[in-house]
Amino acid sequence: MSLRTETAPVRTTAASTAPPTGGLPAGGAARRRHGRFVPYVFIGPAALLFLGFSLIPIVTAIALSFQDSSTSLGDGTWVGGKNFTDMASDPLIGTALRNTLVFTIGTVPTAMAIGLALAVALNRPLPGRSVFRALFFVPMVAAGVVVGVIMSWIFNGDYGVVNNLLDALGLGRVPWLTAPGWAMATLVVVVVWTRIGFCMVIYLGALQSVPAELKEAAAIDGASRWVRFRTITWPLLRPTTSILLILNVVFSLQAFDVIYVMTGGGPGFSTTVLIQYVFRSAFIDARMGYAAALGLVLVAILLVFTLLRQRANKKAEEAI
Amino acid sequence: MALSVADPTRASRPAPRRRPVRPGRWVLVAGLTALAVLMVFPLYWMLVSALTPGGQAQSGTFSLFPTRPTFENYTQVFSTQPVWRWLGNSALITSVGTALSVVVSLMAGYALAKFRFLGRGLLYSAFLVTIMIPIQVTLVPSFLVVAKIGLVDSPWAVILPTVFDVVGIFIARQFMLGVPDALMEAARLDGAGEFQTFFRVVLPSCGPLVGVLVILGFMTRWNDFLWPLVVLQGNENLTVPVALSTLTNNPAFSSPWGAVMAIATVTVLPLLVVFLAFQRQFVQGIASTGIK
Amino acid sequence: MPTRPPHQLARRGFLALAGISLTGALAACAGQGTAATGGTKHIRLSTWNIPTDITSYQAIADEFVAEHPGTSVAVEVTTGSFHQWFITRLAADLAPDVIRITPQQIGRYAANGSLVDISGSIPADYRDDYSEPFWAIGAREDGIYGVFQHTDNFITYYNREVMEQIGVTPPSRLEDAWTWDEFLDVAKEVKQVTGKYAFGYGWSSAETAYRWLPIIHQNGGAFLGEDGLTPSMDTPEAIDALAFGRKWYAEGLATTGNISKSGGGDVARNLFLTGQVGMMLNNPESIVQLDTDMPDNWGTAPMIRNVGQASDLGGNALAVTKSSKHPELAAELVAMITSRSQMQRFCHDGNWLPARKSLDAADIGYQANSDTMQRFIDQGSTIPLSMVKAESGQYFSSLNAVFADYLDLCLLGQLSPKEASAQMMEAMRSVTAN
Repeated sequence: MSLRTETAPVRTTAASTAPPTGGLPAGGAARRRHGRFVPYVFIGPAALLFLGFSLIPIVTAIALSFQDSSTSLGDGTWVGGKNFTDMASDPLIGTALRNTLVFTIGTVPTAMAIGLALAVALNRPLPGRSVFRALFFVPMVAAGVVVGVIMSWIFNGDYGVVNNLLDALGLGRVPWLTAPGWAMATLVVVVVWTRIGFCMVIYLGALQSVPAELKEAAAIDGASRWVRFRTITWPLLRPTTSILLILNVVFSLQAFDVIYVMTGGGPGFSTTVLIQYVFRSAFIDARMGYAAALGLVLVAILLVFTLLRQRANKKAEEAI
Repeated sequence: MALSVADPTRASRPAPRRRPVRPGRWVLVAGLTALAVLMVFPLYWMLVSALTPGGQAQSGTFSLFPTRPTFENYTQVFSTQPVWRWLGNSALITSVGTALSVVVSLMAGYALAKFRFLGRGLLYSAFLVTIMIPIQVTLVPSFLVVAKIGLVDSPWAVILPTVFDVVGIFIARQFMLGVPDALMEAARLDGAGEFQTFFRVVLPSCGPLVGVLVILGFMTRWNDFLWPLVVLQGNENLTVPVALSTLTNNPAFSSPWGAVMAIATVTVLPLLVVFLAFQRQFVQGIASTGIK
Repeated sequence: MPTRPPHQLARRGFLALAGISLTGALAACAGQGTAATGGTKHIRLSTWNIPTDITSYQAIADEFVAEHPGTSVAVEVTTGSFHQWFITRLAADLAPDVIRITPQQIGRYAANGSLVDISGSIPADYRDDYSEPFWAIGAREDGIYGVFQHTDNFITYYNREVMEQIGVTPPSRLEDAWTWDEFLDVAKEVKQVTGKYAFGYGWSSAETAYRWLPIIHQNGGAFLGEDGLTPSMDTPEAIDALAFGRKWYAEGLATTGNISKSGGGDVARNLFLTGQVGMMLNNPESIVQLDTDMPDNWGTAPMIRNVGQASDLGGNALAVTKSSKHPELAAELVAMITSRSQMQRFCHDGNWLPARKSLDAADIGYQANSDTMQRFIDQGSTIPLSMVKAESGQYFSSLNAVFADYLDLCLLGQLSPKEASAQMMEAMRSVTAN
C-alpha cells in the first residue's frame, strides 16, 4: 500500500540513477560471494507487503475495468472493452483530459523552476538561510482539505483578503475562482505553493554535491554566474530534474482534494480534471468498473511519460 | 572523485575572496523575505481564522488581523472533542509506521541496488505501478484484504499497509547505489557474512538517508487521510486528518470552522518540530543520495 | 572523507527503530477495540461529529441498553466523505448497525439492498405522525428502509436595517410569502442599499446543489416528474425557473462567487454577515452566528414562492444496514430514537427541527429563536412529495452532480436556459438509463 496524500514524496526511477563509482564493477555479479537467497531475504518484507496489500487491489482494479460493476466486488458483469469505448465517446472525458494537461503543464515546470531558483539562492551563505529553508518548506505541512478551504477564503471574490487588498488599493476585484480561466490559474498557483518547498529542498541537496572547484575554475576564466549555472550546474542536475519531473507529474495527475474543495470542478467544467472523474464514477455514480478503467488510463499516461523520460535521459547521457 | 557519498560540509565554499556583491546580496535577502512572507501567509491566515470567533475571518474590507481575537475556538474544541487522543493516535501510528517502513525500505533498497536476482526488474515495475494507480480505485479491494485479515479498527490496519512505501524504497535504492562496492567487497574479504556487511558497513553510511526517509515518511503518514478514514472506527480512535474530515465537507450540517482551524493549527506544530529537528540531516541526506 | 559514526551506533540506531516498532505494537494492541465480549449483542450507531448529538445519542443508547438487557450500544462518528466510507465498509460487511443518513444519500442504498427493511419493528402509529413527504423518505413499496428523525429547510433571511432603509416590511405569514416578481423588486432596492449585491443562496458545497430544486417546483415544474422517476427538466416551467435563476446573476443581484459549486463553505452566510447582501435564502444553521455577529439586526420571512410553494429538503434519517448482525434489535433502536418523546428531547438539545407532525416549537421548547424555529417548522409543510421522491431516489447522487454541472452553466450565462435544460436532460437520461 503506497501513500497518496497532498505532500509529494520523493520517488526515483531506474533511469536517473548516478552510476555507482568505485573500483569494482557494479553489482559484483561476476563474482558472487553471497548466498543465493540473500537478496530475497532483503527484499522479502517489501515483496511480501506488496503481495499482500498492493497486488490484489491492482489485479482487482484491472479486472474491474472490464466489468460493469456498481460498488461491491462480485456483482459485476463482464463487458469486455465497453468501459473504454464509453470513455472514448464521452465528451466530458475529453474536457477532463484537456484540463488535466493544462493543470499539469501549469504546475510541474513552475514548481520545479521556482524550487530550483530558491535552491540556487539559498546555496550560498546568506543571513537567515536556515530560517528561509524552513519557511519555504512549511506549506507542505498543512493538510490538503484545510489548505483548500483557507485558499477559498483568501481568494474569494467578495470577501477574500486578496481582493480586499486590491480593492483598497483601487485596483478592482479579480474573479480568482469565478471565471473559468482565472479559476484554473488560481488552482495552479495554490498547488505550486504546496510544492515549491519540496522541489527546493531536493535541488538544494543536489546542488551541494556539485563540485565547487568546477565553478571556481569557470569563475576564474571569467564566466558569469548565469553561464556557470547553464554550463556546469544545470547538466549535473539533470538526474534530479528527471526524478522531480516524474514525481510532480504523478502528483499533478492525482491531485484531487484541493481542487475539489476549492472549485468543485467548476465554474462549469473549467477545472474538472481526470482524477475527479475517477472519484465521481467510483463513489457518486457507483460505477466502479468505469472508474477502474479511467484509473488505468491514468496509469497508462504516467507509464508512457516515464518511458519517454527514460528515453530522453538516455539520449542526453549519450550526447554528453 | 572516488566517492559519490558527498561531503556535506563542503556545501558552501569558504570565501576568502571578497566579491563586491554586498548590495546585491541584500536585494536577494529582501526578495526572499517577500517570497517567504507570501509562502507563509496562508498558514498565518489559518491562525487568524482559528483566533476568530466562528472560525472565519471574513470581511468586506481589507484587514490582516483578527478583529476580535479569542481563544474560544481552542477551548471549545479541546473540551468537546478528544483532540489529545487524536494527536496521540496520529503520533503513535505515524511513528510506528515510519519506523517500520524505514527498516523495510532500507532492506529493499539494498537488495534492489546491490544484488541481481530473478524478478528484480519485475518487482521494480510492479512497485512503480503501485504508486501510479489512483487510490479511489484500489480503496475497496484494499479494505477487503485488511478486513479478511481481521485487522479493522486496529491501528495496525493503518500502519501495516503503509509500511510498504515505494517512495522510501526508491530513495533507499538511489542512495545504496552510491555506496561503493569496494566497501562491501572489503567486508566480505574480511570474512563478514551478508547481514554483518549490511549492518556494520553499509548502514553506518546511511545516517543521512535515514533522516530523509524519516522526514518524508513522517510527513506523508501524518497527513494520510483516505485510508485511515475507512479503516478506523470510533471517535476516540481517529487520527487527526480523519477527525478533521468528520468536521468538514458534510452536506448534513455546517462545518464548525472554528474547531477545524483550531485543530489544523495545532497539528501543524508537531510536523514543524519534526522537520526542524531533522532538517540538517535531511539536506545532508539528499546531498549524499547521489541524486546529482 | 566524511566522518562516520562507529558501526555500533548504527546498529543501535537500527535496533532502536525495531524497538520503537515493538513498543508501538504493544501499545497499539493494548489500546484496542470496543467490541463487547460474551453473549452481549453489540450495536454500533454512527452519527455526524456534532458533540451535542453524540451526547444525545449516547443518552438514548443508555436507556435502550437498560431496557434490553444483554445488549450494548456504541456511538461512532462518520465523515464528510460519506460515500467513500460507507461503500467501502459495506463491501466488507463492516458498516455500523444503525446509520444516520441524509435523504439525498439514502436512495441508492435503499435500492441496492444495503439497507434492511425495518417495518417489522416500527410501530404502526408512527406513520400517522408524519406528513406524506417525510414518510416517503424511508418508505418504499417493499418496506421501510429509514425513518426521518429531524428536518430543516430554507426560508428568507433579511437584514433589518436594510429593510428599514428601503421601507419594506417582509411578510410573516406563509400565505403572504413574496412571489418571484415581488422578491426581485425588493432585491433591486436592497442592492442599491448594500452597494454590492442583493441576496445569496445557501449552497455549501458541490454536493448541496439539490438545494436549488425547490425553485423548479415553485414554478410548477419538477426535477423528476410527479412520480419522482422521469427526468422532467424540459418542461416550460422548469426552463422558466432556470431563466429566473439566470436573472439573479445577469442583473447583479447575486454574485458569481455564490453558485452551487463554489468552494469555501456557506458563501451566502458570509456575504450576509459582511453586509454584502441584504437577504439570503438559507437554512437554520446560520442562526447561531447571526446571533453572535449581528444580534437584533436580522429577521426571517417565509421562503419565496411562485405558482406553488416549495422549500429545501434537509435533515437526517436513521436506517439499519445489512452489515448488522442484529437487525431487529437495531430496528428497535431506530424506533426508540424516532419515538415522539425521544425526538422531542433530541431536537431540544441539538436545536433541530422535528420530523413529526405533532411536534412544534412550543413542544420542543427551544432555548432561543423559538419564532424562527416555528417558521421553519411551518415551512416544512411546503416540501413537495415529488421532490422528496426525486431526492431520495436511486440515482440521485449522480443526478445531483449532473444538476450542479448544468445549473451552474446556466446561472453563469454560459448556456441559455433552453440549452442548459436540453443538455441536463440528456445527461439525466443517460444516468437513469444505466
